[in-house]
Amino acid sequence: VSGRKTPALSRRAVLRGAGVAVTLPFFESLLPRDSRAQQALPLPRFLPIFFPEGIPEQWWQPRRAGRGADWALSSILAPLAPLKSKLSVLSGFETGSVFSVDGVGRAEPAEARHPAAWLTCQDADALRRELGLRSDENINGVSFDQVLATFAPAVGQTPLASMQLGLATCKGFCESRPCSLLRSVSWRTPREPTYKLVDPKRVFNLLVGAVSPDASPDVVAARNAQRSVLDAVAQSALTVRGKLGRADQRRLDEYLDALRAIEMRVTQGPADNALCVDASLPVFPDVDVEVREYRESDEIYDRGRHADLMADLLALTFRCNLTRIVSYMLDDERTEFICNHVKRRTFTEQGSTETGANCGSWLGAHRGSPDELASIVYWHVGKVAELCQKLDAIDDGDGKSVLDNTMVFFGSGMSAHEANDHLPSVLIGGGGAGLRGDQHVDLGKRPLRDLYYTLANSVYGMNLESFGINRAGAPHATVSELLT
Amino acid sequence: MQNARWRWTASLAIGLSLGACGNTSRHGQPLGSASGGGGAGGGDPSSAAGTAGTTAGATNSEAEVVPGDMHRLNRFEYDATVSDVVGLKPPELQVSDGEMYGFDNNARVLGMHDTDFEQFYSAAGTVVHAALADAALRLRLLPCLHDGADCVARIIDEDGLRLFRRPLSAEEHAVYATLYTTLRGQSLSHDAALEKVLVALMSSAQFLYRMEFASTAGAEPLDGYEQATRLSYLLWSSAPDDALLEAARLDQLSQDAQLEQQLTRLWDDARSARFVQSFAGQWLGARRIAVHPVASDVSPTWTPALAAAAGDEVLQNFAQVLQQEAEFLDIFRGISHEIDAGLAPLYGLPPAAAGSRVTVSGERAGYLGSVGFLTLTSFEHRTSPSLRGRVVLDNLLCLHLPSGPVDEPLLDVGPPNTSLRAAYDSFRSTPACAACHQLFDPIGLALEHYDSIGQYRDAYASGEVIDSHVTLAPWDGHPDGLEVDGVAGVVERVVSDPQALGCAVEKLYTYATGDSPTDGNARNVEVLLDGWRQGRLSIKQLVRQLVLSKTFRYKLARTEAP
Repeated sequence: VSGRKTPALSRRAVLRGAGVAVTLPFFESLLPRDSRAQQALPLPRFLPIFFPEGIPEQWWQPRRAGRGADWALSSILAPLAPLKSKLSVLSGFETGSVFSVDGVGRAEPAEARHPAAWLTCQDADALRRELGLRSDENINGVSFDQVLATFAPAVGQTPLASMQLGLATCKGFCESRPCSLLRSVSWRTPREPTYKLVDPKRVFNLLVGAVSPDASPDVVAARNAQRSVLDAVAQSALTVRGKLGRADQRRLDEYLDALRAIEMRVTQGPADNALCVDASLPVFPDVDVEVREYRESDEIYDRGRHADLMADLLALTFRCNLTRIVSYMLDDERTEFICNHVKRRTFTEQGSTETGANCGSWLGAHRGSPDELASIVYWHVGKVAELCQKLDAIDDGDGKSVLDNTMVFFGSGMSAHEANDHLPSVLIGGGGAGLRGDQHVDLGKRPLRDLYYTLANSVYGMNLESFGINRAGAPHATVSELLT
Repeated sequence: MQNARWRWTASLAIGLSLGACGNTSRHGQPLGSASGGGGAGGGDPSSAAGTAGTTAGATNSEAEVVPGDMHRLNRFEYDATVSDVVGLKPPELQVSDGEMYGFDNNARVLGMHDTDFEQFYSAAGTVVHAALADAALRLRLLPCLHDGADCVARIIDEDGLRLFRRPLSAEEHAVYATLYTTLRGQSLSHDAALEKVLVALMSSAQFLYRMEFASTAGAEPLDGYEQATRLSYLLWSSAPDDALLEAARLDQLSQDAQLEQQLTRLWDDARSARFVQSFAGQWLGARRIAVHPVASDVSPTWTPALAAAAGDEVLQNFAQVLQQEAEFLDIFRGISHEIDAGLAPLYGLPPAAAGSRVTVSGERAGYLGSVGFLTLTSFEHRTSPSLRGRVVLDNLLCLHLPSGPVDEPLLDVGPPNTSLRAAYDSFRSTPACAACHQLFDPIGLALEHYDSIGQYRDAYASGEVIDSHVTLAPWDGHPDGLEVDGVAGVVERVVSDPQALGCAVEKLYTYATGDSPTDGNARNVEVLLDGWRQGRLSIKQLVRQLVLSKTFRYKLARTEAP
């Protein structure tokens, strides 16, 4: 590529300004992203998976804390049984201290605050007040996945720094707050949510550039032509960069960064993607949510199939090394989706049985019988289990599976409705990165930000000094129980 | 878990209490400070209700030039631009458009993430390929057919002019001409190479962003092409057409008469319907009705077709006020218009044949009586007087009340279709809550005859008769409040508030500039408003004033990110 200057440091500067405190070694911090990347080892993958509306802890939390044979999964988590040896159920995380000193965060119409805080540990409302912003202006903390995508060593090795996926096919109510708080758990900067890809076709298209069936001359020729086009587009942009004001130059730099990402994907030869050669995925027929909104499963749209396809694509994304950081929302907070694809179940201490009738909406489940909400969550636990098993079936070298090198953080921003203590949380995989498995840890009452602090410093080897906010003034602390 | 959702929604409706309503502000400024007058008191809610920033006396009558931003085309604009320039509708994009100050054309929410560029790039490939396969569109894109250098140069210049909305610089031209040569060198055919050149033009920053080249020293006039682009994106959400580009080339837009002539031409073109779709569609919520949740167990007659008809009606009401050059606030007073027969029952009109049109007139012809407004301001299963009142204050009067506090009581109001009045009375007797609720609850209670999809009802399901007679909190010009009844009373509340004019102008200005209505822009809104006060202007006259003002004719680059 020609001698283009892409300002890799500008976004880092923005994030620093936003209170994300990371110390970078002096020389390293001055290097452009590319050259840093070449020196570093592959990054452990991070996959936060969010489910909306929460679930009270009595459903989620296993009876006893312990390791190995001393503990058993709760009935709602039963689908994760095949992965028991590779996961930790973490009880006691809370984001209440993000909102108030006493950790009591039950507040006025505030469902938006819970997903917003889940990966950021920030109070979007408080930030808005502090900055004097209006209720319709986007503001939130920077999410942990984006901190990794910006600061972690070796992020520059993949074509995309990060990706956000979701299954939401209809939009919910936004509470007079920016809808992004309910629709995105991933925030790139305090003003910019990362938008989700919902249509599997779009994800597939992203992968196509990285997946090449063979190295025939036509493919090479097509790659060369693409490279020429992208080079011209970049050169063209550089002819006007100097004529723009400084703020607009920064916008153009963002464009150039995005251009560089796709260019990188095109220029990566087929040899780099040897694992991806048999990408014979079925393409989902009609999930194009901008064209049509799906409020329930019917003869055209099937939420189960949508989830399965997304799982296949996610597995492929990791296998092809398109990115190592993906956030995934099983649905938006306050979703209006009707879960008619889920059969109701009756839960007991020992397990659950299907009772036949279909479930209704998430909202209705709150109004209706507790078993209904649990049934919906159970179905989603099942989909996460299937996804993790797919990742576990892929060889990642050194006798490890992709799952072993991936930390899947599965959870929600609430427990009981609007309550932000006892957050449902499971950490799956990551054994290759030093995470312990087969345990239920009762953390008592522990700020959720300690999880991110632990992953950043103990797994990623970063110097993350602070993340999020704690109104009770609790210092950051390592959750050593997670680590071997 | 039982009843949790009911409790929750009740708390949303009633839970907007905040003792800080005395500090009610526009844009985070204390009331009155925006224009240096107005006399809003610190803690007195009654003065807060009536006085907003734009009510003070005249200021300097010249608009100032405010630093602006480069806008990426949003989805709506991209769709319109590609449709107009290439002649083909592009694939739907899932790019990261956000929304700020109520509109999706604010530069700050139009980023370019990795996955966004991917989509623009692949859409360019799809569109160009399809267009070149169509005989007529191909002729437009390729004005000459041989593979000589002069023909290639002509194609780059002519298509480049339409896509970049200005002539290419020599440097730019060279980039694309070199690309063509490089591709031919890679053994691509003439056709294949040209296709790639067009894809490159459509993936270029100069196409995807509306660029204005900065003046470093201070404000300076836009060049003709930049002015043409601002104009066409305001009225058409799209690129200038050939006639407007030609006017730019001849430097005609710097003259008022010529500029006005173009403005009239743009209004008269069918593409100006996009102004209504985009501006009114967002401000008045018409775009959101299709996705607004309505509980099917509570309102079984509500269908997607009905939602679409309700959205269309809001747009049509606005379009009529626009086209008849009626006064701006007639949006609220209403002009008789035709609606889809499907909506007839919701308006209490006799049933009509499906697909036919029926006429709605009187108080329900205005925005505040429309099915669209009444539905959008309800929860999925019941009305919320607080929400309705709050939307009126927030969206139509631009009084931005703070969001509710932490630790407020939850109020259980029971199942749908029961009276909320008693609950509201008790709620407003709590001083901490009353500060805000006394401002907006009465407005909503006056609209209680209309259920959560805007259908008239005499009584709640419980049998309790609805009383829509209320005493409104005081506002500017009505120091003792006012006793009103029903929709007509709320219309009276809105149009008699000096802030209604200011708010409508602020919304228009925000949309037209794609910028925040704060700081220097707030002053420009004042200037625009001063002009309006001389004689109630129509929407078109207001747009004309704006387009002729310095705001729309000068540029100044922002040096630091906002």
